[in-house]
Amino acid sequence: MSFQLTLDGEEHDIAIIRRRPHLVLRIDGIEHEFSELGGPSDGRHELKSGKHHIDFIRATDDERQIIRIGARSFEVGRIDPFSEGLEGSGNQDAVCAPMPGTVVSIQCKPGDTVVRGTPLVTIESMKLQIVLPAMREGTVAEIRRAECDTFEKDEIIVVLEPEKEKA
Amino acid sequence: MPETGAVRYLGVPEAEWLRFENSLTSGQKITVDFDPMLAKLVAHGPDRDAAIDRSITALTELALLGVKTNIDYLARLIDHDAFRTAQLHTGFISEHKDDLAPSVLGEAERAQVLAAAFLGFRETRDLIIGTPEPHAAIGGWRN
Repeated sequence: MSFQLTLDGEEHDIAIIRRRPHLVLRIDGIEHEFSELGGPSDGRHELKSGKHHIDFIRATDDERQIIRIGARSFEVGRIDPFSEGLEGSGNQDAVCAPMPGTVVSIQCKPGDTVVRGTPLVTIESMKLQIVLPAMREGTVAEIRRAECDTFEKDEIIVVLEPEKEKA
Repeated sequence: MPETGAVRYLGVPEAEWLRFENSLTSGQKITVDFDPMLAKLVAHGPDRDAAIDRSITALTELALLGVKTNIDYLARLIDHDAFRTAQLHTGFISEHKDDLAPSVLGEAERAQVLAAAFLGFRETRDLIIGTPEPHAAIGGWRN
């Protein structure tokens, strides 16, 4: 599973590769192994990676982590795949996965005009294939997964252009 | 620029030559009603250089998280050669602007920051700690 964090305005990918015997994370494509993780709480902790002992201080503030390492403080945010970019819009703009699964095939592309019921994506979950249709008339804005990608329940697979406001 | 926020973590170094003048408490909200000067750090030394060195030590050990401060900037500023040699004037900051900018974050350091943060978010932490064997050792297999 991979996650997106933000630091200094840039996005970074983190994936959990392995948990035992030590945690291995792939950060922006490079694997790092950690033999010591520190505690989860706010306060002073220590990370150990290879020969490096890294003292750091953590503080949690709303949705961000504030990390102080080496006399510098950083704010790290997390991009939530369940709600990114959809504040304020109706739930008909996003086609969400009803359960965890895999994308089998994509039947649309950005820019396509669709009506209610147009098949957008075929997914497979627990050996069951289903088609996710458009919930309303509109235009496909963004397809967030490719064939063979996996997703969790409620993750957004396809986004439609927001509906124009009614006068 | 001054910013609002809250004091999420406060760690103050202690030394006989150091005084931290403040009334901050952990959890305190820093609102627009605050004076931008949140606290004063006062360091003594037998001479100017020693006082500067001690001030830098104190500033780098001071941890005030949750609201943006100029703590790290001040440490770089007083370490600058021109400050140490007392070449001071009102145009100091604009003259040495480039020297006073923070150094670019190295790739290894950036990975450490991201890892530390990743381990702090509850959702990702739960995934790491909460996964039982044998799944934890298997790695990226899907159910």
